[in-house]
Amino acid sequence: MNKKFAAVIISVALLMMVWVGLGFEGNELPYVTIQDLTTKETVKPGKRFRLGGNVKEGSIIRSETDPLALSFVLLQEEQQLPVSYHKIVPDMFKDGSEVIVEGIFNGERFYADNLMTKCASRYEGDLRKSDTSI
Amino acid sequence: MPTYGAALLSLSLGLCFLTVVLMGLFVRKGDERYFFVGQRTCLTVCFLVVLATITLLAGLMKSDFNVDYVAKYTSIGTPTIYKFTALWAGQSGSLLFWLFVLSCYVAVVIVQNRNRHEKLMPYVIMTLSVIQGFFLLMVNFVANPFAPVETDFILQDGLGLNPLLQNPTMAIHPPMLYLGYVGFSVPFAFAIAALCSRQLDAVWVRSIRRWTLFTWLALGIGILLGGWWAYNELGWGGYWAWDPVENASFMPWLTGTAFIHSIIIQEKKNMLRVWNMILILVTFLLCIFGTFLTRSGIVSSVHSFTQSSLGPMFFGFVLLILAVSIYLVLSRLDDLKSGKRMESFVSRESGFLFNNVVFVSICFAVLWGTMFPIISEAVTGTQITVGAPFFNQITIPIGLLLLTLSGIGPLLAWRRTSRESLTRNFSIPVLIGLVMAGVVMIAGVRSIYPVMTVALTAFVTSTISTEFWRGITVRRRKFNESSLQALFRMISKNRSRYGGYIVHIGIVFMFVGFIGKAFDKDREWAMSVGDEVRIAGYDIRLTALDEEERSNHYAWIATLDVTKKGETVTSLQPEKRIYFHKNPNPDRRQPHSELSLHSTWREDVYSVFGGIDPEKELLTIKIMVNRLVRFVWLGGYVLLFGTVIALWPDRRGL
Amino acid sequence: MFAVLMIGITFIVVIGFAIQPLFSPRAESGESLRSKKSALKLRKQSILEQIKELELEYEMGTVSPDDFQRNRNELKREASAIMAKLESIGT
Repeated sequence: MNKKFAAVIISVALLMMVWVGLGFEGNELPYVTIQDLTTKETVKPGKRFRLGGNVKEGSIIRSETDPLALSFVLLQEEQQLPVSYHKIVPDMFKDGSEVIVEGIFNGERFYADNLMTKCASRYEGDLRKSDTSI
Repeated sequence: MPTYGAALLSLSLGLCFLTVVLMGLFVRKGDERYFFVGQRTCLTVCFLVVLATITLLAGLMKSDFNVDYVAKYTSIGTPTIYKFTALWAGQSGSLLFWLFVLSCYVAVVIVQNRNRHEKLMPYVIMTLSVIQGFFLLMVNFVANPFAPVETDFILQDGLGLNPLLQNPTMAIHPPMLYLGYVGFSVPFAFAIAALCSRQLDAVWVRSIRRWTLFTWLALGIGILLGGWWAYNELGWGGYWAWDPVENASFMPWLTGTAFIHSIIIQEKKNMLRVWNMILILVTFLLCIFGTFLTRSGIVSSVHSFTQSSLGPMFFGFVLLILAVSIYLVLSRLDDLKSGKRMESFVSRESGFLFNNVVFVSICFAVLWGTMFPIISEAVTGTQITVGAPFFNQITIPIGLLLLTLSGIGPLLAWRRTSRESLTRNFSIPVLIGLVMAGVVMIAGVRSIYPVMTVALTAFVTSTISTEFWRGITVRRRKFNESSLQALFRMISKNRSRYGGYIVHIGIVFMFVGFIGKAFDKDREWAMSVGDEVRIAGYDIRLTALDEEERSNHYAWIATLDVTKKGETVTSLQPEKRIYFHKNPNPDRRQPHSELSLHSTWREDVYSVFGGIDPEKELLTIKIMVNRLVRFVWLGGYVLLFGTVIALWPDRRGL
Repeated sequence: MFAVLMIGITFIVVIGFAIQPLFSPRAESGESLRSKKSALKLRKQSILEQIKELELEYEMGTVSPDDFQRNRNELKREASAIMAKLESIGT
């Protein structure tokens, strides 16, 4: 009985693992660089990607007619990528802030459907830059 | 003050090392004096750590900006309560706080067991001291909370606590999580002690049952409070995002849940001894691993502390625990095997075992999804992340399986269940489940998971109520008690069992809350005063936009009147705030959206003030209608209630 | 200065507390029999509880008469085996 039991338990566990493996299908989101987007041929229209970088200073443009519409330029060292976004932006989104965007690339412009800000100073301040000193 | 605190910490480290040596000597030589001195040095370490914590707290309260930590996390304007909570807001402080919690636990363990478990205690104290020693090394040499300020000028004011953390929930969420995380050290230490001394029967399991339950509860409540905070403060309208750090706390909770189920079998049947051992070792490992994930910054998360040298240290500690655990289990394998057999697939034992397999599978799935970005980067060079859709897709069906088991398990007999009791016990609950599924399908719900969840929650609720009802009937007949009397007596006679059932009911409520997610609605608009929008049957009108300057921030306040079919429901006032708005450096000003919500059992109307164009007086507003969220919190309360019943001290002692 | 004084006092108090048992006479520990006994007692208690629970479940109708009889016999057999062991140690 114990052997039979072990066999059943192991097969259930294996089944679970297969199930977990299958879950990746269509849910994976590659974290790429701007260079990858423009050079790699795996980039197909409609496939979602995730990119990180900084918001180029002065590049944030809000639409005159639609206050939700927004475009900015994502900066990764020398590489630049224009990004469009049509949702409320997080509180920490501003010039120069570090962001992560998720969305699709149509060959020249990145259409983000999700934008997150990453802020190192969120939990750890830097006293040297503090202006509370005299 | 900083010198004193730092001295306390180094003294503790020395004594901690001494404790380990003394316990080792006792085990070798058998002279009890070594043991007693070791016990006292260990208690001393605990006392000194508490003293160090008080010292840091005093520094925070007095705004002693000579201490780097105090200057970074508080300012003169920080309200007193948040000066207190700043203790665990940053890296080094939270390490000290961790140590503080651990020390309190250790002291309780030593005092509680001073006349018990003579064989286990030396190893228990040794193990706990090693863990303490690791954290003491961290606070002494890597992240010292008493480190002096490094600036070459005198600070007049500190940086202040992040406004997001200035929330009452944030005052309880981290300590609760720590109570949980740290608490697993105790069962772990007993497990190691049982392995070392080869006392592998039910004694060690019995002695840590209540500890484990308490720890498990604290971790669970901590996780729930985190969800509550995210929902009420962060403004993305959800309570769980499958963020790596959330996952890190969820994983030990899952294996811990498996453990508190499977030790019942070891207690009653002396079976599954190897399995239980592995479960608790893994649970503790996951606790430390979770801390490693949070501290090292190797995964991106909202919770991450800045990258620091703590990462490799924690990783090393994880490896050490892993190596010791594997060695001990392998070398004691023959003693661990019980030689008892499972008799039937349809028995309480096998129900528990399947429950365990499922819990561990969920844990594995969560671990896999959390680590996948790192693994994929190592293998293919591209980091591939998997988001919430992956986790939902994987865990929802497994979770439903678990829900089913929680309905079936309690009604199975030990060893073997005959077919006739199966039909008698399950025909009515299954029928009720099917009827409920039919009802919601007629009501227009077509998607598979909601229908299944409704059917299963009905099934589980009816099996559990049957248990209660039958128990009451028996007592009424036998002892001539009233129903209420019978209920109380029945529960107090077997608290762990009925407490467990109540916890299951809590979980059922949570699942009800989880299905609500499938029916959520959300939209964003640009609005100016006077505009009206419509979502999910609600008419929402922006009636006013006010501005107000408060003590440490500037606020725009939108007033939204919410009506349904012409009747006023509520008025919501989401705000957009700028913290530290007087700061001359615009980079230090911190925008923050204060959300506003109206909650009912059916649904929550949730509003977020996204942004403002002050010239055009044009606002961006996000409205969400989140269904059944309250049931998640209700489930949390029920879970708490049930666990407290199970934990309530027994008059018979032990 | 104050800090140094505080550190000194703490140090002395703490060390005094810790080494105090050293001045008591040497004592050997010998409790292996006791721990074996307490393990058996715990096992006995657990089995008695299980018998009670089984009886309750039987009365509630959750457990069928067949299952009840078989399980109870097994538990009783185990209980008497433990009692026998306890007695043999006790003497």
